[in-house]
Amino acid sequence: MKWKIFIIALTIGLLAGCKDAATKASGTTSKNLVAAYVTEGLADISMSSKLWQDAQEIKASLEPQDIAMPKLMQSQIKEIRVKALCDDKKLAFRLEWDDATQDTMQENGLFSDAVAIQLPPSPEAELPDPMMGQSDRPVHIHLWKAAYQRQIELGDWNLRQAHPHASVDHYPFDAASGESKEKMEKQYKIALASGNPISRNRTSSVDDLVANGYGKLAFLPQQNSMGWSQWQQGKWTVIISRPLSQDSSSKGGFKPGQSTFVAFGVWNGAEKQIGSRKMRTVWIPLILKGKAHESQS
Amino acid sequence: MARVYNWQIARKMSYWYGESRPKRQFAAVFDTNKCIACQTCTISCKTTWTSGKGQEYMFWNNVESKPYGGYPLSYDLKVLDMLGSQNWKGNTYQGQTLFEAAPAGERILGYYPSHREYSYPNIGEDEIAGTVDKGMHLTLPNMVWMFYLARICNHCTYPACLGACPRGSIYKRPEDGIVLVDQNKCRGYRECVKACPYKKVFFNSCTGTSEKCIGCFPAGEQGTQPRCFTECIGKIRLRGWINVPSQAQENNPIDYLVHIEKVALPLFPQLGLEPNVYYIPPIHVPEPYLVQLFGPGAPAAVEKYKACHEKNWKMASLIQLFGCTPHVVSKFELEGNTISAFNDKAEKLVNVPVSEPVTIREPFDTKRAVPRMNIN
Repeated sequence: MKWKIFIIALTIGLLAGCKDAATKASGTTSKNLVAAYVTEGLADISMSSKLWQDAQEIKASLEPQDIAMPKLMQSQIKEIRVKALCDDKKLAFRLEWDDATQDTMQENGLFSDAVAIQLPPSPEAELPDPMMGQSDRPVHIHLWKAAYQRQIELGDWNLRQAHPHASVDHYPFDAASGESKEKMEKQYKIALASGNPISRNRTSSVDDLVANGYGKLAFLPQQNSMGWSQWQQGKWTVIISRPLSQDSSSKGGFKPGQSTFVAFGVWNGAEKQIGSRKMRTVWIPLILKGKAHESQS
Repeated sequence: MARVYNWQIARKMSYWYGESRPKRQFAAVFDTNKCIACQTCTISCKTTWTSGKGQEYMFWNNVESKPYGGYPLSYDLKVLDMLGSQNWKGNTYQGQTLFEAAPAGERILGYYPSHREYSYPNIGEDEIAGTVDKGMHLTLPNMVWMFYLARICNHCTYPACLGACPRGSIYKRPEDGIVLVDQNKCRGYRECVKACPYKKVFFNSCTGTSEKCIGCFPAGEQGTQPRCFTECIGKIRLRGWINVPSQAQENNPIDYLVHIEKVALPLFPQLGLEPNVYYIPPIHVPEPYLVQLFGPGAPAAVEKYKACHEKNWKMASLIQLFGCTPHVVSKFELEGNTISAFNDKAEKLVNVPVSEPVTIREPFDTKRAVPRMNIN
């Protein structure tokens, strides 16, 4: 009898292992994330909105990114909890994960907590590689960073935000005024002067990006997504909202009633995670409910 | 990883890209024996390039007092400690380079300095290596020692920063070998900051990108040496070009000092980056420390340098040329008592007398029948 139980347990274990291996190989999971359709309230969605109460939550496993160099070999954060909502114009995600420390600064040895959503450009497109897409199949990525949120809350960067007691004799542009001051200050912000959007004045805590594989992340021409966040008692809650269609020509993008896939990435600043040093999920089926499903959601 | 040849360690080694040397390689020689740590180089760089927001803590050029000083704090000790004990056999390095010692999942062995480690840019300034016991100061040579080490980016042949960047945002210019961060492409991942053992790439919190010494390439394109060279009060620096050892030219000042006389040596050659700033080692520092910093050629370099005025007039003369022209020196020529510098177009830049006639001023002026108060 004991042998029979052992063989059954072994078989179940092996099947579970096979399922895990199959999930990793295909980069997808069968667990669905359903974006509940709402008729109003998504335009000014907030953390405490009651709309989230009716949305179904899924738990997705986070695996260390251990394929591209530099790799993440291990991590403390194991899962992310996700809810989604949509209407005729927007798609919003509520992302929640445990993180014992709130890391909001990007400075020398300090790294920011972050989370990202990855989607194919449209549901019609052949599903790209879950790891940042591939040369002929890009992915759209919406990256929220605690440091970006901090920047919006505190305004333009200055030394005393991080070091309240620091002093600087003077900046060369201090003596200038008006346009010439701005122009002179920009000369010392080389990345900004060269047109790197990462250095721009922020209006959103989310970057809208496109990737065609590892190391090929770039900004989308239009920046539309918005983010809101809260860290409380060892837990981040972040909302990211994006238009269903990423560009104004309405090419690509999504419509209520369609199905696609979504993947998530999480960075723990305390563990110096940035870039490819991240935790990620596989592709998760995403169902955008339409009007017909409104009453059921 | 590709296999590339690193002449500084006299062997092939592993690197993330194949061997692709630039058409010409930026190079410099610093004479540590002449540096007085006045920090004029540091300030000239600071006021030229890093006076903006987010750059407050950056020193693309710094001068540190050895053995205790370092910016960021103890960067050299940390890197050497991580790498562990390694061996040279003659001029061949038998240990692991930073590329070969990379842990699983990493491109290069490195570390991120904390913001506190950048908070003491000149700790250990003028500190000597030990205590001065009673009477010790009366003996020569002094038993305790220290020296100044001026540092900029080494514009390495095998840059760790370039090898570490997952986005290909760092490149080595084919025309002069200067290593730059593409400010339009950088996303501030700081893999370069972690990888560079000399810690000469800095993260700018204001722009969100990494920045580094640019070798004053706009000046270099006009045939002028970098600001930290032209402003050097001690005349310790000479900027030119270096060839690989097999193509060394005797009339090229860098080739002559590095390859032919072997009196100028790279900093931490064992790390495997083939850095292109070369140092004439200090003559008063214990050999084991010099070997750790500059490799196995350090003791011979010290002896050659000490004896050059008696045994090698050409070398002694060339060292006189340092700091005598603001222009990049491609060639030099010694004729009699005059050493001359030339640019790329073979145009003469400057004539410098190697020695000047000695005039003895007697302490008593017989003509005016007055003693001379200032005769030195």
